[in-house]
Amino acid sequence: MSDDLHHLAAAYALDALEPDERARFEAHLAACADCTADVAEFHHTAGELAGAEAVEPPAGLREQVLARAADAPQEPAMPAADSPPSLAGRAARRTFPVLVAAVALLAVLAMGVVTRTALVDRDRASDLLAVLAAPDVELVPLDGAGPPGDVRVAWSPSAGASVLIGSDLPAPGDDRTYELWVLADDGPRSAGVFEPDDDGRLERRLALPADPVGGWGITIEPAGGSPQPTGDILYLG
Amino acid sequence: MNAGTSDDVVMAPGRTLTNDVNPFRHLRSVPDPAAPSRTDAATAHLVRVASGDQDAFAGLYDELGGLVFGIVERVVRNRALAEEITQEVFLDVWRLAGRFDPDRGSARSWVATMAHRRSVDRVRSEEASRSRDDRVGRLEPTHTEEVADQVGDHLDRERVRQALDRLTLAQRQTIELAYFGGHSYRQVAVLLDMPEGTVKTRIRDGLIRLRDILGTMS
Ligand SMILES: [Zn+2]
Repeated sequence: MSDDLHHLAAAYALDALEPDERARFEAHLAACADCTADVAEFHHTAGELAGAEAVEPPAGLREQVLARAADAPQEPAMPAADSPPSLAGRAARRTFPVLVAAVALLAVLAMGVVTRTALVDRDRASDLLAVLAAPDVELVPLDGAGPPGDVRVAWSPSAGASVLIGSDLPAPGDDRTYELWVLADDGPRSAGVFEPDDDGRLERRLALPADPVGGWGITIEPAGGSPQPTGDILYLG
Repeated sequence: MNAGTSDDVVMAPGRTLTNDVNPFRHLRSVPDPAAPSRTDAATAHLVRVASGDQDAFAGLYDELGGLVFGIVERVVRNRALAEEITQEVFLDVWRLAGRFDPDRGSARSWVATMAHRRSVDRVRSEEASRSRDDRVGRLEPTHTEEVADQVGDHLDRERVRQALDRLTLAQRQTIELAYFGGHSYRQVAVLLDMPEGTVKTRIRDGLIRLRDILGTMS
C-alpha cells in the first residue's frame, strides 16, 4: 500500500498531482534516490512529448522574451545537490530565501538571547548564532504530519553543525521525549532527544553528521530516546 | 470512484520509520540514466545563460521557443495566454539558469518541465473558478495539426507519434488527458469515470512504456 508514494513519480512528472499530493511527493522526493531517478527519466520523456508539440511561435514574442530577460536579475547558482528541475520549487524555498530567512531568524534568536540572558548560556547562544549566520546555512523546514508547531533544521557545513529550531511545539507527554533522526543511506540514525520549553520553543545545536543527509525526521519516543525510531514520523524534511 | 484498488492510498499520516514502508530505504546515490549528452545545442546554450550570456539566451529561445509555446498553447488552449506564459517561462529560465545541472538532464527536459508546470498551474487556478461544463469541454481533443506541421522537427514528431501509437488505447488516452489536457489524475478519473487507482496505474505503466519505446527508437 504505502509503496504508493514511489508510484506517484510518473503522475508527478506529468504534473498530474493536485497540490496536497504534489507537496507530499516533493517532500518524499527530496530524500528518495529512486524517485529522483524516475522523475528525471519521466521528465525526459515528457520533454519529448512537449517537443512533438513544437510550433512556430508568434512573431514578436522573441523580442519580448529577450527584452524582459535583459532587465531581469539572475539568481545565484545552487549547490550541486539540489538541481533537477523537479525540485525547483523546493530549491527556491530552500536556498533563495535562505539569506533573508536566516537573517530574520537571527533577529528573532538575538532578541530571545537578549531577553533571556539569564536562562540561556552565552556560549550556547553564540553557537546557535554561528550556525545561523554562516554563509552556507541551509534551512530545511520539516513538514508536520498532523501536530501543530513549526520545526526547521538550519545546517551549515562550514560551521560543522546544525541547529534545530522549533516553535509552538506541543509537550511530548509524560515519560516521552522528542527524538530527531537523520535519514541516511543505512537508515535513520538518532541525532538526539529534545524537549521544547514551556512556551513550545526549541533552539538546539546538533553535531552535523559527516556523511550527506537525506533528510530529517522527528518522532516521539519513550523518555531517554530509542536507538531506532518506534513512533510515527511527526515532522519530516 | 475510489474503489479501493491496491494503490489508492497515498500516505497515511502515521507512517513509521522502522517498518518496510520507510521511504528512505532506497536512499543512495545513483547516476541519472536520463542524463543526456552535454553536447546538444540547447543544453550548451543554457549552460552559458547561467553566466548571464544574453546571446546564448537568444540561442536557447531559438532552440526551444517553439517547444515552449507549443506545449503551453496545447495545455491552456488560448493563444494570447500562451504568449504570456511563454514569456514567464523564459523569464524563469533566465533567472534560474544557475540551477540547471547538465549532468542531471537536458535543457529541453528542464525547460519543458517549467513550461508544463506553469501552464497546468494556470489552467487549474482558472478552472477553480470555472463551471464543470467548461472543464469537461477541455476533454475534447483539439490537436492542432495545422500549426504542428509548420515546423521542422518532423522526425521527432513522427517518432513520438509512433511511440504513442504503441501504447494501449487506455494508456494513451490517460497520458494525453493528463499531459496535454493538463488534468490531474483525479480529474482524469472523474472524466473517464474510472477508479483513481486505475488511472494512476495507467499513467505509470504508460509512461514507463513510452520511455522504453522512445529509448529504443533513439
Ligand atoms: Zn520514492
